[in-house]
Amino acid sequence: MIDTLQQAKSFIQKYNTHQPVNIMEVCGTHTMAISRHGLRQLLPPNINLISGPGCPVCVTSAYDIDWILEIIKNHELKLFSFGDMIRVPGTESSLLEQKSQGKDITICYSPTDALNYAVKNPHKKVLFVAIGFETTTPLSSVVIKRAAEYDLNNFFIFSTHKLVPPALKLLVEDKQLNINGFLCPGHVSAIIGSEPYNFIPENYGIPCVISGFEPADIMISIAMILRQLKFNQPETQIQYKSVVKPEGNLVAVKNIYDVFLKADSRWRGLGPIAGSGLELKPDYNRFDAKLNFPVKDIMPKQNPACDCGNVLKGLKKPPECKLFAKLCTPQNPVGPCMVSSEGSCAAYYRYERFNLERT
Amino acid sequence: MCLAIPAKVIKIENNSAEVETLGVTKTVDITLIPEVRQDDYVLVHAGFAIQIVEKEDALAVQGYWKEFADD
Repeated sequence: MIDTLQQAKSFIQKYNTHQPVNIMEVCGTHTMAISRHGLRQLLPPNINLISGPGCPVCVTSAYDIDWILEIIKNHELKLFSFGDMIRVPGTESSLLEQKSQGKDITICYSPTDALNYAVKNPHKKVLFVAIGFETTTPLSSVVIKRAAEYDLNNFFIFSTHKLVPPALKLLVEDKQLNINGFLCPGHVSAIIGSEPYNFIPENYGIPCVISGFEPADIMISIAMILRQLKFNQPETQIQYKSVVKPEGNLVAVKNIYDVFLKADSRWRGLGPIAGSGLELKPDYNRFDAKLNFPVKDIMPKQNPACDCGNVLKGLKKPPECKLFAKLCTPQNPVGPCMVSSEGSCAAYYRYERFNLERT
Repeated sequence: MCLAIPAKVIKIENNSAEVETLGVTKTVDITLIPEVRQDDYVLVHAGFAIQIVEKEDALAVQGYWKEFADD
């Protein structure tokens, strides 16, 4: 490991032009690995790593959370959710608070847990909070197809699924950010492959490297970005070749679009992004919680001092938020970036709090 | 959220496979990688195998996750 890291460092030195370089990582697991292994401290000072909107929990809008809270307030049903999601605060409450007040909320490991419960309990309405990027979406698709095969009438999903490339387009066009390279997400790319990123090097001249998660993987990927910049040859490269094929997983992609259509989606911090979300196709309307449990007049409010919006855009680093490590901690999070184990604020709090003068 | 861990396929039955990672055995759904065979290494995310992984890399990554879990 040390030798590989040393080798990666030597590649970085070789291709470093000493000009300021902003590299954004677009995956919460990368963010955690960078913080945990102190990779920022291993880089030359002209290379700035920025954490992007790579944590699906963090980018879920308060509007969607408030909608889910309204559903469970007004309807008798059992809700299944991945763990991080239940702690994210909505305007007045969180799923965790509702659970402590007696609402029927279960943390699940897989969407199949929710489906299996619905099959075994036909008289109980079951709602699965479907969250995640392209890595997770095909799982929801399989579950919806099965719900249709079983002809279930008691299973619903609330889709907050989001697509990564439209968010990247928004970020590259943001002049405030000035991104010079992207570390693209490894497991999203295991599904979608490398082609969906090509518009970034082709239209904007910005290198993209799909990276693995070990420290040396990330360092080598940074060196690959620097090499592309030095020789002015922007392209999409795959560093994580053991997992990511250029074409991705075609079966998984087909499953996504068998069940879902692209739709507009609200992102926390980034706002609405056209074509960045997924909603169920009309054939599957009976499983769509948004159609079956409509709500009116959602007016989400967020703590105005919480800077998660700017953190998600990469405009600020977590310690620049005045709530960071004071009012906002993993034990008592104010914003979603501190809630999720893959959130930027949680990563900085856990691993880089005492090392901030270097960041 | 998009965390995924490599595992070895021990047994396949219809849409399910028994897989082993870091000494733990569990059942996962293999609908998304129909070409998978026994003894392959796969990437597991939220109860589903989402991609076949090369063995040497899978073992290296398992070491990384063990270290991560021990942290």
